[in-house]
This record gives sequence, structure tokens and C-alpha cells, in this order.
Amino acid sequence: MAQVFQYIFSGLSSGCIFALIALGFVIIARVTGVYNFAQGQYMMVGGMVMASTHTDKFPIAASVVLSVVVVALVAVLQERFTVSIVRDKVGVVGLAVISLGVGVLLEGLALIVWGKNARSIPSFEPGTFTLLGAHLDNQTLWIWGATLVSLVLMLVLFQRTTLGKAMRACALNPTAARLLGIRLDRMAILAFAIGGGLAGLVGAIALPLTSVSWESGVTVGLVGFIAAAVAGFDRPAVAVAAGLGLGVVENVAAGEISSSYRQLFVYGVLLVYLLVRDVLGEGGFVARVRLARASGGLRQRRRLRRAVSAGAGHVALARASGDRMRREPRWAMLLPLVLLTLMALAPLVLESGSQAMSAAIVILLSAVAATGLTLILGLGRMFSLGHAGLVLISGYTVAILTVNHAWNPWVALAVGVLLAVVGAFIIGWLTLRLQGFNLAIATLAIHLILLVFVTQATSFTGGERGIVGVPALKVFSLTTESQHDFYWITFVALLICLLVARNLTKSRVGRSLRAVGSEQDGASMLGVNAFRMKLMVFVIGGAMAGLAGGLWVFYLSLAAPENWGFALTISLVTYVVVGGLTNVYGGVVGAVVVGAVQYLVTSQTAGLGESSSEYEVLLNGAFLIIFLLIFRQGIAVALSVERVKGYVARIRRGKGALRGPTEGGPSAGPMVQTGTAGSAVAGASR
Amino acid sequence: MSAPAATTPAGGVAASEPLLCARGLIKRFGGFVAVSNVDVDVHAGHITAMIGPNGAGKSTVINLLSGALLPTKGSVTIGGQSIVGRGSHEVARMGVARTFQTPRLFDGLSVGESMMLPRALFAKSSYLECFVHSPRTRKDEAGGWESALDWLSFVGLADVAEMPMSALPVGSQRLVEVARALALEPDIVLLDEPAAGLDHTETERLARLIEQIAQSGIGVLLVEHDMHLVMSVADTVVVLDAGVCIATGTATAVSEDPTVIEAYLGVVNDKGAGEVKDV
Repeated sequence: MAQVFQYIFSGLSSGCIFALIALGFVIIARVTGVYNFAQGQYMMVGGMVMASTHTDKFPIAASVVLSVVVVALVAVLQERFTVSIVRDKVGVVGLAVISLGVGVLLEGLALIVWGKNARSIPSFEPGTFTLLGAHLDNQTLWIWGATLVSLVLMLVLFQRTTLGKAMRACALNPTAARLLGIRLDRMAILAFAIGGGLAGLVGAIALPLTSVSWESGVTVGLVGFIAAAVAGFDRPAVAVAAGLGLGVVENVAAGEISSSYRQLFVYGVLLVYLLVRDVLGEGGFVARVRLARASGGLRQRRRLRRAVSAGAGHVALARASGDRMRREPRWAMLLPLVLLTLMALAPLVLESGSQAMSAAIVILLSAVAATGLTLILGLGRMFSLGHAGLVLISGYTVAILTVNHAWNPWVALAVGVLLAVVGAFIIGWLTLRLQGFNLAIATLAIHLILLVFVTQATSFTGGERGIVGVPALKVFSLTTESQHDFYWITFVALLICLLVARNLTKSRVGRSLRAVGSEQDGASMLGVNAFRMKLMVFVIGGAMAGLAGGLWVFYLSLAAPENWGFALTISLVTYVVVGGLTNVYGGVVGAVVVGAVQYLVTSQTAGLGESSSEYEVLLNGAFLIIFLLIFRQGIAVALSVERVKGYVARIRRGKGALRGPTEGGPSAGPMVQTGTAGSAVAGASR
Repeated sequence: MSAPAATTPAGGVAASEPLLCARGLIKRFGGFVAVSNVDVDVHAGHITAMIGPNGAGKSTVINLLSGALLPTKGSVTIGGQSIVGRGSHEVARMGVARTFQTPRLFDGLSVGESMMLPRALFAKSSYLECFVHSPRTRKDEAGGWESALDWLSFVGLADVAEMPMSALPVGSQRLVEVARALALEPDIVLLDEPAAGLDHTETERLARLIEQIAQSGIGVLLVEHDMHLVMSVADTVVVLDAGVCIATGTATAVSEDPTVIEAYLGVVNDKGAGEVKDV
């Protein structure tokens, strides 16, 4: 029994860390609408400041305060130099990705300032105490106390004070808040300062029980994010409870069941919680079934009625103009064409076996997967964070079938893609009913579960080492053993994916999804089955991820977990956001531009000796932020048909302003011309 | 089906079975009862108007009838089939179209493109063909665009097809909503305050349009504040107050009903002339 309490109490301590990170997530999201993925790195910075100021001469309290202040300052700087500049302009996903960039930047800085080694410090007051038979470090009390005090302070702030209410109003309705005289920018600064301060506090106080290194922010940030998402990024107390719960589940499961599958339990519990809540909730599946007394399937529409015949004259007029709209200008494809031509020519100048060639191949493979993610994120507006999971499914399938079962590589590739499709269908069917960030964490949880599985099921997947010795894929005289041949094969795959993506976007599926993204209820009432459309696009995107994964295996001739981890998802999301969410070519453009810049940075800093990777991390983060600050809707969108059409239209409108109003003709006359704001007001006040 | 009945004299409750039939509708939001025991019938070719002060539960009823909300209790059938528990897209496919109080603008789509959304139901090509942009898909697209224009010209707006809907004045936006609803080729149209924000000429035009719709055999449920419009087109009027149905009958009968006058019109001075807005 004492053992269980031991697990529970140490679980509570790590839970406190998650809880305070989650609290920071909630406060920042609640006030500014930003999902701040740098939260974990804030804690890392706090721990680092604590570790480096922890000397005999410097009082502990001063170190803690310093940690809090430094991190709060970092957070405020982030708000000033990223959020305040692009808020309202890049969307929720864009802001989240920028904060990811800030996180990476902080990691790079930490690497340069504090080096690679992990650091820790002794407890504030060394010693242990016993509670219900469990032996606990005195530091535990500090952590528990800090969490409790922070939560109470936050609750008081938001529920009892005018300031807190004003802060909440900022996210609920920024315009109305502004009109009420609330200074949005000040509230945002304050929220970031508090969120940062909390992370700095937990980083400093939890340090004696853990250790801190430059990359230790990621996992903590992830679990904190999950806890905050469970609370809907809105309820501080729930976020704290969820954080504590996740800590306890993880520790108890690790101690009592299996430590190698410990994360599996956290993510499994989370997934079940999300799905069950969705199914049982109001308006959920169960409620619908209970209320539906309908029997039998949908009756075929009885008859189609052309209720009215249209005036011929108007139609002729409209058709003439309609044709104009539906034909894209010839040069619309210019940017993607230039880019694709460059990509096609790349192998001619790159030497086989060179670093540049390898980089080009990885860019190309990422572009295939990113094209699928562009459909999911941009067209379907589904915030999936599990895209790399689909790559992984296909990759492992191909490796297992070809190596362990000696299947024909082509058949294995087909089966790999098929399994990715089936996987996407199941994942989509389970999770697509979830809204917003619940979808993100559910897909992420599934990916993490897959990762734990392939790492631990050693006999089946080869564990950490992976599966090696994948044979070559051959077509005509091309073989994937040659880097150039591989490039061509993958390039053809990319073209096929782009063609499908483009057709889909232009078709009724794309139109329906754009409508759903804009106003789901309105689209539903016009007969659009939003769920089916989303599922379809999710599956198509999954097929592209599967294709990328299958080909990837032939390039590496092995399948190993580290290739398709969460980092890949992050890169893919980055490519799509930087390239442009709403453009079919966004993923490709992003992969090529970001990938090329990353390659250049790596090769340029290679000469700096040991520190090369330090600068690489730093510059990756910096570039991510800079790209998003410059190309707010993405590079592809900034130079897309619609935009260019907009510029052209603006010029034309300038010329044709005189005939504008009279061109409408009598048919549209009264409706178009009199329904101005003025007459609407007059009508209402009569 | 009853004969075109828009011009049926007041009092004409059709003898036929109602197309849409709601019985004992109750909707609670937490402790608040928004709709309590309401019955609604919509007959083919008839115009049923639903009036009532703000907060009477009119929009909630439309949301219940269109599948946007689940009723706490009660039944809604269309042609004898229950729609309770079905998603709005299924209800739309069963032949019920609606418009919204606040027009849905569909940012990123032009008016014509948004008109093509309901036409997807009539597409002949499979989704698989959409991936390869097959000739049949192209034909569907061209056909969808043509009928989109047809419906737009029916409401007199054919030449705005290329524009983003947000660029139109609110009166035109409401007409686009009506056209979009009709493009579903529904049996029943639910209109949620279509005349709000329209001026006199536009309202007149809308009234003719509603009559035309009913004449073609479509059942119309009109939720409206504009008493003048209601009086001029409605065959049957249902009056809601605080979620309860307080009167049903012809326009004239209802406007003379003392309960209605008290609950809705306040002290009536000139029946049918008072446009009650922004109560």
C-alpha cells in the first residue's frame, strides 16, 4: 500500500509541474487566444536560471524570483515581437506555429549559453518526510505549495477582480472589449508575463527533484498542453486537476504495470476520456440515438422540382460573366510551375551522395507528406498533430513486409499506403467529431501511442534500432538504390499528389469544405455532410502521408522510430503554415523554402566546428518566426492566383469605376442599389 | 398535394396531410424553457407564418425543425418520417431548406460558388471522379454553375454571381439565402426573418417571391417581425409568446385575437399596419 502512495505522491509532484505549465497555457490562451507552445521551454529557461544562480552567496529566494522575472520578461518579449505584430493576421494555427518557433529559438539560445549538459541543484531544505508510508523529499512540499498558491491566486484574479474579468473579455470578444476601454495590448502583456512567470516558478522550484537540459522543455510542454486542452483552455482549476491526474496516472502505471509503456497509459487514458466525453456529451452520439425514433434509411428525394423558370435575359448576362470567372488566367500556375521546374532540374546539378542531394530527397519526401497535410490543415481545417503517425504506419508496414516476409516492394508499398488509408479512416472516424484542439491532442496521442508501440514491441518492429535491410524498389531501369533514380520516382509521386490535391480542391468537395470552414451550420443546411467531407480529405491526406512513408523506407532502406517522431509532425506543420495553408501548393513551397534554408544554415555553420548544431537550432527557430512574420498567410498565398487576381482587380476597378453602378442593369436594380446600409436602417426604424 | 394555394382565401387550412408536422415540441436550455409544447404544420403550397415578440422561441423552433437543435421532447416528421436525431445535412436532403436570420456569407466563396453547394446533391459523378476531374465531374460543375445562375436570376440577382457575398447589401444577401435554399429543390422552405433590414420596395418584392414559391407547391414557414408582410402573404399564422403557442388561425383572426393583441402588439391601434420591430 505504501508503495502505491509512493507512486501517487511522486506522481502528484510531477503532476504539479504539468499543472503549472497547463495553467500558463490556459491563462495565455484565455486572454490572447494564443496557444503558446513555448510554455515548456519557458520552464526550461526558468530551471537554467535557477541552476546557474544557485550559489552559496546568492539566497535561494532571490534565485527563484530571478527565474520568475527572467522568464516573464522572455514571455513579454515574445508577446511584443511576435504576437502583437501578427495577431488577427495569421490565424490560430499560425500563432501556435510561431510560438513553436520561439520555443526552438529558446532551445538554441539555451544550448549556446548553458551548453549541452543537464543540470540540477540540491533541495532547498535537504531531508525527507513520511506521509502515509511514502517517503518524500522536503522539496515536494515546496512544489505542492507553489501549485496551490498559484491556482488560488489565478482563480481570485479571474473570478473576483475587475482586472481578471477585463482580461477574459479580451479573448471572448476583442472588439467589444476594446470598445469598453480595455487596453488589449496591456492585458496581453500581463497574460504572457503571468504565464511565463508561472513556468519560471515551476522550473526553479521543481529543479531539485528533476534536472534541466536545453531540450527538456518539449515533453513537459506537451503534457502541459494536453492538460490544458482537457480543460478546454478555459478553466484554470480543471487544467490543474488534469495536470495532476496525468502525473499520477503516469507514475502509478509506470510503477505498477510497466515502465516501458508508461506513456501509453497517459495517452490511452486521455484518448478514451476525449472520445467518451464526445460520445456521451450533449448532442453527442448517444443523445442522438436515444432521441431518434426514426426507422429506416433516408428516403430518396421524392421528386426534383424546377420550381420556377428563370428569365432568359438575366441568365444570358450572368453566363457571360460567369464564364469569365470560371476560367483561371493562364499564368495562374506560374509560381508552382517555376518551383516544380526547379525541383525537377535539381538532380542535374546535385551530385549523387552529396549532402545537398540527401537534403533534396528529404525535402521531396516531406513535400509529399506536407501536400497531404495541406489538405487536412488548410482545406479541411482539421488541426491534426498526428500526420507523422500515418507516415510511420506505412513506413513500418513496407519495412516489415519486405524484410521479414520478403514481399515484392511494389506490393508492399501498395499495402503500406492502403494501411495508412485504413489508419487515417479509423483515426478520422474516431476523432474528427472532436473540435479544434481536442482533435489536435487526440491525433497526437494516437501518434505517440504508435511510437511507444514500435519502440517497445522489439520482436515485431526491431525497437529503437528499427528494421534494417529494406530491398530496392525498381521500376523500368530506375532503382531506389540510386539517389537520382529515387529522386525521380518520388518527384513523380509528388506530381500525382499535387494533381489529386488540386482536383479535389477545385471540385465540389473542396467547395463544400471551404464552406464548412467558414460557416458549418450554413453549409450543413445546404446539404453538405461536413463529417463525410472532412473524413474524405483526412483519408486522402493520409494516403499521401502513407506514400511518403513507404518511399522513405526505400530511401533509408530501414524503418526506425526516430525518423517519424513528433519532430516530423512539427516540421510538416511548419512547412504547411510557412508555405500557405489555403493553397494546394503550400506544403511543397514551404518544404522547399524552409528545407533549403535549413540546409544552407547547416552547411554554412558546419565550419564552426562543434558548435554547429547549436547555431542550427537557434537559426531554425529564428527563420520560422521570420517567415511567419513576413509571409503572414504563407508564401504560396502571398503569390497565389487569388492574390494576384485581387491586385489585378484593384487596378481594373480603378479604371472602370465610372461604369460600375450602371452596369448592373435593371434586373438587379432595386435590390443591389437600394439595399445600402442607410436604407436598411431606414427600413428598420419605420 | 393541394393545388397552388398561395392565393387561397384566409382560413384555408389545407385538407391534405401536412408535409412537415411537429408535435409537442419542447426545448430546454438548462433550466430555461425556450419552447414549450408547440405544434407546427406546414402544408405543401401553403404559407404558414410564425410571429411573436423577441425571445418568443421562433428561431429555436426553426432550429428544431431543421435539425440544427435536438428537441428535449417532441416529434418532427417530414412526409411521415421522423427527423429527430438526424443531422441538418440529412434534413436538408429530405427536402427541408432554411435561411438564417444572419445570412451565412461563406467567406472565400463567391455568391455563385455558394449557390453551387446545394447543387452538389444533384451531382452525378462519384467522389473518386473528383480526384481525377473526370468529364462527368466537369459536366456536373458546369451544370451546377448554370442552375446556380438560374436560381440567382429567379431572385433577380444573376449578375452578382462573381462577387463575394459580403460585398452585397443585406437585402441582396437575404435574397441570395432564399435562392440558395431553393437550389436544394426542397419541399419545404423555412425562412427566418427574411425581411429584416429590407426597405419597403425590397419587402414588396420578397412578398411576391414568397407567393411564387408557394404557388410552385413548396410549403413555406415564415418567421417574421414585419406584420405587414405576414398579413399580406400568410395563409395561417401561429403566434408564439414565451415559448408557448398562444394562437393559430388566419391572419385576420389572429390579429383580432385579444390574447395576441395583449402579448404581442401591445395596444393595437390600426390592425395590420403596425410594423413591430426592435421590440
